[in-house]
Amino acid sequence: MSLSFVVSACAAPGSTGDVQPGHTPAITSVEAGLRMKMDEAERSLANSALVIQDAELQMYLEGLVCRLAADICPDIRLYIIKIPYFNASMAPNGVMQVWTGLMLRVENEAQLATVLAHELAHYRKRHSVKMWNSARNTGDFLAFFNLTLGGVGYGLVGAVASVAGLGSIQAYSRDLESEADELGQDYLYNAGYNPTEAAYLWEKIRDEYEVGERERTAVFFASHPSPEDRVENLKNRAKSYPHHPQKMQHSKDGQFRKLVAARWQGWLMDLVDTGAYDETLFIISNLKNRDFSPGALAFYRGDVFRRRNEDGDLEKAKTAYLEAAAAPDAPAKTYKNLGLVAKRLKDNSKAIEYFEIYLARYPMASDRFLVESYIKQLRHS
Amino acid sequence: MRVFIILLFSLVVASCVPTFQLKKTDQATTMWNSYSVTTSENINELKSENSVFWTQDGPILERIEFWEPVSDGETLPLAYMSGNEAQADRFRADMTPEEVVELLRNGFSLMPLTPTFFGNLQPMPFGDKPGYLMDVDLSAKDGSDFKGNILFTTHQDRLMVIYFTARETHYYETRRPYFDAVVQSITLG
Repeated sequence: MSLSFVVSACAAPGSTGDVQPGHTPAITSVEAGLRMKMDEAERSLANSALVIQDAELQMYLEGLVCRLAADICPDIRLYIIKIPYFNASMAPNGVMQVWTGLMLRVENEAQLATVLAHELAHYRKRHSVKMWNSARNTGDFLAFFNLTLGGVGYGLVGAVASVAGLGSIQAYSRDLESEADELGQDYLYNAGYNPTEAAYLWEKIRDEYEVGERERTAVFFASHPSPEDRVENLKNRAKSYPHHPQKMQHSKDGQFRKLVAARWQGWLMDLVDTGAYDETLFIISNLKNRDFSPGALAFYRGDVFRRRNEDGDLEKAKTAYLEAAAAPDAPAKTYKNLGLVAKRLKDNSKAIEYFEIYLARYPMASDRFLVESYIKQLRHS
Repeated sequence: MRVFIILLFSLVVASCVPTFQLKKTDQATTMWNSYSVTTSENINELKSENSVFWTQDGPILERIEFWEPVSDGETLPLAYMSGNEAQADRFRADMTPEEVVELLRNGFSLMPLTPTFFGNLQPMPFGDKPGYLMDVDLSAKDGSDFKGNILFTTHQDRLMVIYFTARETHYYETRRPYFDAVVQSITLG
């Protein structure tokens, strides 16, 4: 933080025009100071367990970035982050974060490209530098750090929750978000995707937030354009583009789907852990509409009900697990979790039966000692 | 005037600094009227509303937390991020060890740190009670990595937890033997 005050006091504002490929800011500029701060953050992030090392997914995402903004793509360093919330962020030194929660929610490559293009627009337009200058003028240093640097970059959602109540910087942030939406939509169109996908994505995200916690939703939209305005604006803009062949719209969807299909269960489990049960059910429903593995989806629906523990949830969990058990793609733990539900419903004989099925199917299961202890306990109760 | 300002500044700083107490080697401490533990080295103790911390090098680098036992229907005594409290699951006295792990995963997911690994659950006595030990890796959003272990048991319908965490680099390996010694010293009341 002390560095920031030094930067504020001594540094020249520097260029606020578009970033040029390979650009290195003058050492005395605000931008150089911010980049230095971000370089420091990147050194810590790069070696963290938070970063998913997944060469196949990494290569795919980097390829997409280059299709959207070929000239600046060599300057972008992309990190896949194991956080189950919908977010991506862009730092002024070219560090882009893509959170697994984003991958879990986008329905096709065009929607994924929408978010990456939005972040690239933040970078191209030097929004971090502009935010800094705005914060310097208003004295909202803390808000700036929370909004931009605290989340290690200029976030799509990011650390926004921590800036509730800091009005001036939020209003400025909304303007920059709108600019990133529009420029990002241009990138999407120019790369050969359907620009309406940007509006579809925001409709989906709005719907998910509406089923979730209202308080968090309110904070999120304090620093972002209202969802209605955002969707409306993007839909209207999409109509204004001249017609041209959308050669990329579906060409890579097969690859996108294959990548997501191999990974979504881990991403969803992380989301279930956050206790955002209503949002998780919403996402499970979306994945079902997209024809992902029905047995696995039923299993995770069962997990949500089992862990949510509201009235009637145990029965719903049982129904969902039985649906999963009947499917050929049921996850290994289906019968074990059925046993846990039966145990809580005081149906001891069923619980023992389910646990024994689990052990018979997976005799080498690492949790065998636990399941055997449950059976023993149930037999003696 | 300068003396007054220095005095005022000192008072302000003193009021903000947490108060550590020194626990001497081999000194036994009763935690929450539930169990006692003995330190095998001089250690600094810091008390908060729901936890007691023991640390040698400072709680940001390494610490052992003794949580206030959690009763049926209560949430874990963690520092949840603002707005996340409502999503915290509640302890049930009939939870299996794996359901306790899910409860812990939920709690830690709602803190500023992100769980990157939770596993290797294995039996480990908690005093003379059967208990469980597991490995926990957490990462801060700035990329700082922490490793740790959680020892827990359910006793008289309450969840007892001892949580050890340290910076992955240097501190975890260095302080782990001390945690093991603390675990060996547990005596249930």
